[in-house]
Amino acid sequence: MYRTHMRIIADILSIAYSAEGTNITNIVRKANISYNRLKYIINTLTEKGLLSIEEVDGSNRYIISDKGRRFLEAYSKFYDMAESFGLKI
Amino acid sequence: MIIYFYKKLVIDIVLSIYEISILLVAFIASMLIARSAYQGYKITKSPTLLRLFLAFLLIGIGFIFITINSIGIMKLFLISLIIQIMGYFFLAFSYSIQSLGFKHMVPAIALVSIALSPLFVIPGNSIEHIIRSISFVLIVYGATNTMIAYMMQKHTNTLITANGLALLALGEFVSWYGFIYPDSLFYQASLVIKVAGLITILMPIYLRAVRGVRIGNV
Repeated sequence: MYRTHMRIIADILSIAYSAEGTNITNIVRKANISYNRLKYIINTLTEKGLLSIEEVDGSNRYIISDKGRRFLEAYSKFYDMAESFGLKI
Repeated sequence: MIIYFYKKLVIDIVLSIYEISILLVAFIASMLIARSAYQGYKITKSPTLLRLFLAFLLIGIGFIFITINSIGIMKLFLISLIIQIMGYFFLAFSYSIQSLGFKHMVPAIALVSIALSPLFVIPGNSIEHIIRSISFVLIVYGATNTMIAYMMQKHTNTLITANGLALLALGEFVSWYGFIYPDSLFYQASLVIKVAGLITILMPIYLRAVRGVRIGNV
């Protein structure tokens, strides 16, 4: 199924939504996206302050930031709106 | 004779007040949908929401122009129809751009052919007839696509919006009959149907705001 770029970002942020965050392998698997593309998106998201990186036991964990949470809540709200028109955002 | 004159005057005044009130409700409903879409566009930068914003903004502006025309300040009826058809175009465009491929355009082409056929039968064709028929086709295209989306996803909100768009199309169709029978109440009835359609479209947006956000759904 075709996903818009915005939808992929929302999927990544949803995966990193929990308090303890998640690792890159989990994001690749759950978001169903190639590693190279994911790396590029994650760099953009961290630059924009939507995602933060923490080092735990020598490995990087990706955690959604407050800004990311606000974005995801807003996205979810307007995703529903577009969906009610039978459209995708 | 005087009583008849006063009776007619009172009926005209009541109809004018009714018409203006309905038009203002339609304007407010359109603007509320446009506002919601614009808020979404500002956050997500989604072109789909921008197109929805432009669609309902133009439909709303069209209603306010019809109101100005009804009050009698300026003759803006034709301009208002042109503005509204641009709004309906943006609405239909949102669907056509997402459903790429010729097979999705077949129902639209069929509908255009059916809608244009009366133009050759009704005597004294005018630009209003043409605009009304094209508007009708564009909204029916949007309503059909929304109904297809409902059948695929089975979301209640999509069904409500599809019904709203269908009511909007029905309103456009009935107002078209208002041109053919100018002294009838077709035009007033069409306004009520259009307002009902816009309020129906508005319902899922505000129900969602009341219900809250579901993150897990993304």
